Amino acid sequence: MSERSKTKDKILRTALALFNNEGESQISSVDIASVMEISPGNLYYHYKGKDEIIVELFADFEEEIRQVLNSPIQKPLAVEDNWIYLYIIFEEIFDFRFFYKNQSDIIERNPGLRQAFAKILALKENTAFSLLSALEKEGHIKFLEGEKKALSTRIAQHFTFWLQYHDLRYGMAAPKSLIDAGVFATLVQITPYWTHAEGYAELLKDFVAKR
Amino acid sequence: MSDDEKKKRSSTETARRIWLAGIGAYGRAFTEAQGALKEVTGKSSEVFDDLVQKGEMIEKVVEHKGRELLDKTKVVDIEVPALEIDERIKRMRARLSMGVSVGMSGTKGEGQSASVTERLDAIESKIETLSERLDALESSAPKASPKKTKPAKATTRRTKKPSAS
Repeated sequence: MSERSKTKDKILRTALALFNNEGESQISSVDIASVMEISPGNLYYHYKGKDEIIVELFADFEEEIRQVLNSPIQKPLAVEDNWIYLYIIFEEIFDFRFFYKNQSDIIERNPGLRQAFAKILALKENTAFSLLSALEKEGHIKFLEGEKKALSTRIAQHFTFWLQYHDLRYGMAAPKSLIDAGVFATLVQITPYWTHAEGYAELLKDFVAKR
Repeated sequence: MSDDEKKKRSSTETARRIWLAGIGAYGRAFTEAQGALKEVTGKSSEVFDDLVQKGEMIEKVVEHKGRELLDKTKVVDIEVPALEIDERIKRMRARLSMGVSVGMSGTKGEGQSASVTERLDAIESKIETLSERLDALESSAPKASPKKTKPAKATTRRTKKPSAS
């Protein structure tokens, strides 16, 4: 990534926080300039509008989430690291929640993001497939033909729509504790395939005890 | 196809053939397929086999396309040193065990999950916004402002990887 000026960096950080906390649709580039106490003209010098900021924020997110998602594909995780790893994924998404809550609108306005986001979705499926494969290889879970692929897709969907669902269901901003619920819901989807009842109980006990 | 032949098919194979026939049906107009099935009473197996054959062809194309897409995704993937995720897992484990930041402290419910620091930051930011508004009111000078209430200052942070370059 090319070196960014301090001002550009500050614009991005401010915009991300405002989009996440107030809702992307509620924030204009004038608001961002106002919070930063710079003139709208100064902001315009660096970014020609809100969408240009969003595209750059997306590029940062893409780089980071790719690194996270690729890790278990390149090298399988230890079993006990799986749920911690899920926390990392959910936190990455939570930190970029303005996009996930309004993905259709943002992509419609910025068609260039469509393919990049589709690749992230494909990578999410591959990651889920790798996690499940590692657990299967070690005999922790067992699948019938086709189930592993279907579950991978289901988990990727859960990653993608978990925040949006919460907003639609409860009509309020998602609290950060929703990450707990997201990780738990992922595990619940995997556990029916768990081969050892005791192992499953241990896993959940460990998980729930820390909640 | 003889009864013996049919019996030889395992349930998995039968399911696979039904699946493939389903895919094959997409290859032709639905009404055409339906009409054909009605007309060829007694030859339904041939129609079915025909659909299976089509399905197999489509399956191969789809598999090929799928691999192509997968390969494309892999090409642009960034090579990451394996240590990095290990380090992040370590840090996240430490945070979780301390009950920090992701709602693991035992307190639950709306607004209770953030760490003390984050909550203090949020309160501080609100006080700052209120003070600014008070100053503006006191000075009662008409001031050009954005069309909405000025939002709270940025307080959240991004989880950054150790080496950001």
